[in-house]
Amino acid sequence: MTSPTDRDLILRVRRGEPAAFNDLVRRYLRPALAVAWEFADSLDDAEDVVQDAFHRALGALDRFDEARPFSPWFFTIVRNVGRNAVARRSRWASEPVTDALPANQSVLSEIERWEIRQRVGDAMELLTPMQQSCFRLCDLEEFSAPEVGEMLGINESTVRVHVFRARRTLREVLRPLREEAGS
Amino acid sequence: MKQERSTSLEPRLPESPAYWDGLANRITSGAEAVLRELAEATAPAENWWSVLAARAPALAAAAAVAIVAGTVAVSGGTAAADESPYDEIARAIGPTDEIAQAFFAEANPPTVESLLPLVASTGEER
Repeated sequence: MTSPTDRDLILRVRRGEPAAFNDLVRRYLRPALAVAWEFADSLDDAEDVVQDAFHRALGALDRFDEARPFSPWFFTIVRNVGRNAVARRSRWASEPVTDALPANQSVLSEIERWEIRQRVGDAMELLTPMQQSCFRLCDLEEFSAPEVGEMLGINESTVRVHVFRARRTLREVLRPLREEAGS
Repeated sequence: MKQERSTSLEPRLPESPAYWDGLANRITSGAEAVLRELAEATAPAENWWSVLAARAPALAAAAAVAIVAGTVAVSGGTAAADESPYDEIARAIGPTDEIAQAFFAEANPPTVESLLPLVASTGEER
């Protein structure tokens, strides 16, 4: 049996069918969370962004033109909700506490891991925000370039350019780390 | 885009199906009230036919009574007047002069002989 199209699900959701909304949520949940996390400090924050985005989409579904594709419209909502969350957090201006050392592990190995994380962090900070997002979504979360383009609202070829530049920068910056590990 | 400092080159999305089930259920259950409102808002407009179907036996009985009553009334009326509806219509829309009426009054056209006296009398009037 073929799965229902987005349009079928949307028409059923408009009639208030919970099963159709559940199907729509499951279809877009993973990429939505990946996009949301680009704006969030933690998984919990990303989940809140995704939940808010789905509920806003549901509230605005009567204004959505079902002749058009659902995903670009929906990911625009996810990104807008994510940006709003970032703005709220920056107003609160609370610095996250990171990299606390667990007491029950070897201090030496933890220091080494901490140093590696710092250098990866330094390398990632050399990337533009869009390069970070494209690199993370394509290379780490394994979404395709067309999927990432749709999720971020940019052209597929632009995604590939960002990923290429991100890889090149990371390779350059992290080369000493690899050489240390090899020696 | 990202505000936080990234310190990992590992995938971040959870892999456990149970995690995704839980998150999907959380989102869906949070939307229950809105979905219920949507269902209530669309139900009357889309189910008018089911309301009609539920009243079908009563409507059919009422229609049967109306047909019987109408038939009785019509048959009673024609018996009293002994006149067909065609005559009534012809009288209402037909011409008033005698010659034209001769064409309307009968099913067959009038003979020339029957028309001659009418022509003569009409000529005298003029």
